[in-house]
Amino acid sequence: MEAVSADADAARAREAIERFPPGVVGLDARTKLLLIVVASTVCLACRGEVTVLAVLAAVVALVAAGGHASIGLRCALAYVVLNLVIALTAAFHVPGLSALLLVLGFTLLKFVPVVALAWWFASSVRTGELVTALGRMRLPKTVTIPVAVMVRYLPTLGQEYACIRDTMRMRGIEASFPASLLHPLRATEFVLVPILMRCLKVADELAASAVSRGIESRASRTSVRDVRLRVRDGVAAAVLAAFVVGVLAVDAGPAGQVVVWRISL
Amino acid sequence: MSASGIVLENVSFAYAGAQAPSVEGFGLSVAAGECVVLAGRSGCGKTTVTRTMNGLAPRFYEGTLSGRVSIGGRDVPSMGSADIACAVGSVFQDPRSEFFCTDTTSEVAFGCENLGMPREEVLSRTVGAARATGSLGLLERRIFGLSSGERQRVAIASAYACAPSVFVFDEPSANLDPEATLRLGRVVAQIVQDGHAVVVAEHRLGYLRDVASRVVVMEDGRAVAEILRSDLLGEDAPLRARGIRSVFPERLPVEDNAGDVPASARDAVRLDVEGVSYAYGRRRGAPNAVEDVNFTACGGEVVGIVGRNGAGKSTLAGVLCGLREHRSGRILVNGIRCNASARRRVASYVMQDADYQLFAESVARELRLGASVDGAELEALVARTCADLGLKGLEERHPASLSGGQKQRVTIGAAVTKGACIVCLDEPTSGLDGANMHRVARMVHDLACSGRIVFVVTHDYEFALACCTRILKLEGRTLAADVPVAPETSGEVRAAFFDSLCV
Amino acid sequence: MKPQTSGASVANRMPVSAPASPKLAAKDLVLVGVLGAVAGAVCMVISLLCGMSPVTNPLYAIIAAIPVGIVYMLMLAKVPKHGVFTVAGIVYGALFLAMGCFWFVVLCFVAASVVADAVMWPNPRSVTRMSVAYAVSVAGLSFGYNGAIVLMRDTFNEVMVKNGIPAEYSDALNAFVSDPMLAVLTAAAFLVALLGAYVGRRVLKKHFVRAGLVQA
Repeated sequence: MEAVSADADAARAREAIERFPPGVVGLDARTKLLLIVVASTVCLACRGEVTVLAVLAAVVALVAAGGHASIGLRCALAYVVLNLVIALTAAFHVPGLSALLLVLGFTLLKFVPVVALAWWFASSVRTGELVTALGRMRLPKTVTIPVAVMVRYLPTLGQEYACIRDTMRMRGIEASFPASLLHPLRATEFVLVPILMRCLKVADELAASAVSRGIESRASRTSVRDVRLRVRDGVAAAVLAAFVVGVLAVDAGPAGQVVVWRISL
Repeated sequence: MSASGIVLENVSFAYAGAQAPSVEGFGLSVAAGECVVLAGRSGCGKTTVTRTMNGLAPRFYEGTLSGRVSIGGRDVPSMGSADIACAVGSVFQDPRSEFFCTDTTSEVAFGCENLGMPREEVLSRTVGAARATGSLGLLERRIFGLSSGERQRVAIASAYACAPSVFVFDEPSANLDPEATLRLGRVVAQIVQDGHAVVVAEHRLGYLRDVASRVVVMEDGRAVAEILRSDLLGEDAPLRARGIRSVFPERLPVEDNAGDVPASARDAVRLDVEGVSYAYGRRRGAPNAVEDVNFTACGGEVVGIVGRNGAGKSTLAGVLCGLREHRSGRILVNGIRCNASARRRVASYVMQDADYQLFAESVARELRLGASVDGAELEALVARTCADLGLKGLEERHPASLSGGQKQRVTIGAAVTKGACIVCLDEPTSGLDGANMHRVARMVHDLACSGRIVFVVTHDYEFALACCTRILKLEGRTLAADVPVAPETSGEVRAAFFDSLCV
Repeated sequence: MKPQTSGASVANRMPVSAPASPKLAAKDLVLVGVLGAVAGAVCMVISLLCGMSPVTNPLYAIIAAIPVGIVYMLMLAKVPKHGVFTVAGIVYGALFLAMGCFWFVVLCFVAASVVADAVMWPNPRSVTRMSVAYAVSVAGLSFGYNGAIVLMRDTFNEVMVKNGIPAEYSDALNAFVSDPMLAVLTAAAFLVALLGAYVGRRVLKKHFVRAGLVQA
């Protein structure tokens, strides 16, 4: 009886691993990276605010289709808020500050779609797939190993920093913001040194664990998941190309001159 | 000699730059289906032996190896990386730093992927290994959401997937709570039953007493005794004398630890906790984790906070120390209502891992950091603290160069120089052997006797018996039990620790 | 090492010891990754703080050079092998790319890292070479970052004209993001990075060497 249910469990687990997510979620890691790079280039290169709006709209739609609608919504909200700030600054013509805020706002605005994409990338890509995808791009193990480790360690860093912060608070050597500006080196030392000590230890243990499972083997690495470029990646690339051409064309034309928000007082 | 066993003959290993070898003339043979436990105090060389078995010494940990190490007849030092992965499965101490991937399936498949097996085979092995180790339910999950015990099981599955004939465990239960440790024991038993040769280096033998066929006791790099399972069932005092933890902790007698606490300590400080409730994390909307905590504690008490994993023990300790604010209720120190920052000034929190708590470049400077006095008084205080905690002669050493036990004493010393009257220790004995555990117990006792309230979050029954005067149990979102530790209440004390565990 | 006792059954008589290989091993690569996460986090925090105003924005690489200097000096002390800078450059570059950084910045950084490796080639243990190599890679990052801003200069002008900002302010901003300024900022980055390397070595000696974790 028990063996039968274990068999069923095993079969179900196997199926869960093999199941390939449909639609946008299943895009290869390489395609997602391409999206980010292209989006950042387009956003930086374009001149009109309409263009950025169009890119943002496309990104929000994409991310929502990818199952992380909250990311898209939060970034859209940031976009609206930023635009308001810019419009208000432009309307109120405070000397000096206006120019600064305007340039700042405009720069930040360009990054909103890219931030959305990067956030989505970090949330949806799994290490194994990423490493294999990078390997398919002919990147040697010398590069894929550190990348995998970095991706895996970054989230842990947040927790480690929180522990150190807690200890500093308890010991009364709090690195509160004003204090650390006055003694930046000391604050850096208090935070960085314990983190780096931990890093040395973690790196050692992590490497031992990986070596004991054959990471130094000369065989060509495979993956438990089916990582390959599929039709949808080709479709995505084609749609991306068309979108970019369209957006750039619009940007160069009269629509690119439109200022999206303008408050007249 | 079974073809799939492990054989060590006259093995010696000295780490590069070390004065003396860590292991000398060590011999052992383990057959398939047999489990051998290597036990001994910290530094006896058992970890080094496991490293020679899985080839990490000298391949990864530089040093000089002599003697013969062979698995299934093949010589380990001359095996390639891929061959070793297929011959020996290794599981280490710290589940936090064993993981290479961010999701469990990739982690279990990691070894097979490295060895370049075709995808179908990797998939079959992954599912098979998960099934054999009882971790099917842990597949397709993010690593960051797992508990230590769950992570350790995934690590075992990952080693299992490469189908090695030998398994080597290095203190796998060091960071696990009792429930997870028992489950670990069951997984190890399953692996032994499946016909593998298993070697476990451990301090705590309790969870292995039904699995191990032999216990090899090591001291100073040599094997000094060998105990068969049948002998284990008797007295474990000789084992404890060698620094190993009690094999039958539930049999230990409950003693009164409050006997020699001076009256002055009792009057030194008083903590009242009234109707306090708090939540995990700092998000506003999170529901309360624990509600309506009420108790009063005086100086000289060592209060053990116990409960299952996730019951809110560490969070309670954090609230008491002022690391976080409580949601409702009042906390009074010496009759004065204190909020979190006021509590922080009079309390100290010693975390499990000393690595996060050492900032300065010398022990003396570390003790001076955040101290409550200064000038000549501070120097005297630092000198006294060093003497009391056995840190004499180490004042100019960098804290990171000290041993684990010494580091812990430095962090406790920092609590002393801060002048904290409330000290919380979070799992101070995880991974410690018997001798060090008793030393910590004595230190905690001395801390309390000098006029402090010491809270200890622990699931180490042996340690609690050695120093706690009172046990607070958290269960079902509230304080379920408040028991003084004394021979009369030994039943309740035992129940507080072992309630749902089948012992 | 005690001499081995005799025993006909002991097959392996020669002591086996693994020498440190000159090539980058798994241990080294994992350390590069872990330290890369720290360096990346530090950079992210600083770029968030610096991005608050376009005046500090160009200074981001310069400000980051000092804490990242500590991380790099540790990495170089632990892994004094050929190719460390290139691997680090590619890996950190990939992180920036995935975070949405402009590809030009990443390209400059990787190119500078390769040059840094060339500087280190004859003697990977020399502190002077380490410092100069680090300075080169930071200068490359600064050049790429500010170069991208300079490329965007025209768009800034258009924005300001469209929104009716008086000419003197846009002129002032232009002066700040001008071509000569780019050279100045890159040189400044180089010098500050040398300082960062010095600070890094100081911290290394004070803590890591003293604790015995790193050889001097």
